[in-house]
Amino acid sequence: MTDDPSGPGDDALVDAALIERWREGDQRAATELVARHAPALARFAANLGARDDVEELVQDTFVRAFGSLDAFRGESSLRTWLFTIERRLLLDRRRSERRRRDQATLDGHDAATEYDALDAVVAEETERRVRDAVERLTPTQREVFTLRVTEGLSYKEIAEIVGSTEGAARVHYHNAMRAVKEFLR
Amino acid sequence: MTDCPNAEIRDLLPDLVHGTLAGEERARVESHVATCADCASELALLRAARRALSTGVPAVNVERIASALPSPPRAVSTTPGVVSIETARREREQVARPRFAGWRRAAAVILVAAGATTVAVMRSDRGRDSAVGPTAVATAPSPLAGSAGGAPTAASETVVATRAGSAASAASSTPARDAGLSMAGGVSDLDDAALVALLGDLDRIDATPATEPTAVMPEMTGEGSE
Repeated sequence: MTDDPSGPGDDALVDAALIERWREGDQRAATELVARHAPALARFAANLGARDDVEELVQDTFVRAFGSLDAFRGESSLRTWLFTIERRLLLDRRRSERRRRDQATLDGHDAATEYDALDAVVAEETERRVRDAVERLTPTQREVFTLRVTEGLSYKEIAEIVGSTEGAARVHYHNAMRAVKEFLR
Repeated sequence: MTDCPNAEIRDLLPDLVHGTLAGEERARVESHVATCADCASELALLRAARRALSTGVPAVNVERIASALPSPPRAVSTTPGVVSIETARREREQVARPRFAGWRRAAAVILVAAGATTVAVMRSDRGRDSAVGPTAVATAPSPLAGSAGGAPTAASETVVATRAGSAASAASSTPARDAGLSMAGGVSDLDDAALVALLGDLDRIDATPATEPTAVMPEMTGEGSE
């Protein structure tokens, strides 16, 4: 995947066809869209700290997306749009929880306590250490690293999701990679 | 673990992990990794990170999520002749739209008719002014003169008489066209002769615009019956 694709990929074309089928009244197209993107959304949510409410978060993301699917122009990919919605939902929940608990601000310096939702049991030692390293990243680094490494998104797509520039997304990724390497050293 | 100085290749390593690189680009990255220990280590780290961050994720129930989604804009009905409420509502709006447009047209026609009636009344007033002649106009106090604080001056009487006289002289060809708007006060200021003339004018006015409502009403009836 490059940062400057010449046109919509196969995934985007399939999504567009499914969206059109759903707009025409085919509810099964919605099920196919959920099946295509729900696992990635669940991974993203889990890696950003969601625990028991992963499915609820994924469902809310799809409900929000389908509620405004008429307004979806296809300027970005459906996957990018879904990640953007889920991220906002997750941040909204974080803010609500934070207000209730009256805890620290969302400034990225408390990443270890904020994003500590990865499973405790990981069989392979390297993977466990990698997860520990990722947990210690700042929230933004963790978002960018997860989207780039786990989902394979381009910097352009990541920038759209996290609301930054392509260059900033690249910097966040390399800083995250450097931090992970230092932790593993 | 150190960083390879080739930032371009390092940028593409996640894409190599996901198999999203095109053939030539993929070959270029793979050949670099084959000779670069730093990139090979980073590639291994990326693969481990991908596995680590993809495991232990709770499974989601696709069917349950899909069942919670809103209905499509045009829900497919399995029963012939039966459409969704949303579809029925849209079709009804489409049918209703021309009817509202018709009402707007009817309202516009009524406004035009009302305007035409007003103009007719004003023209009739001018005609009456011409008919009653210089005396009637002269005896009706002008608001302009009244505001000056006294009875009409000789000059103002002369002007009014001149206007009325010229209108009377032209009455045979274009009655009331040159009379101008009357500046007289209310009905209570008119004498008996002027009132009789005014009532006669009003009788004629009542008959004059009868053709316009007749032209409007059938259209209103036709629109309303849609």
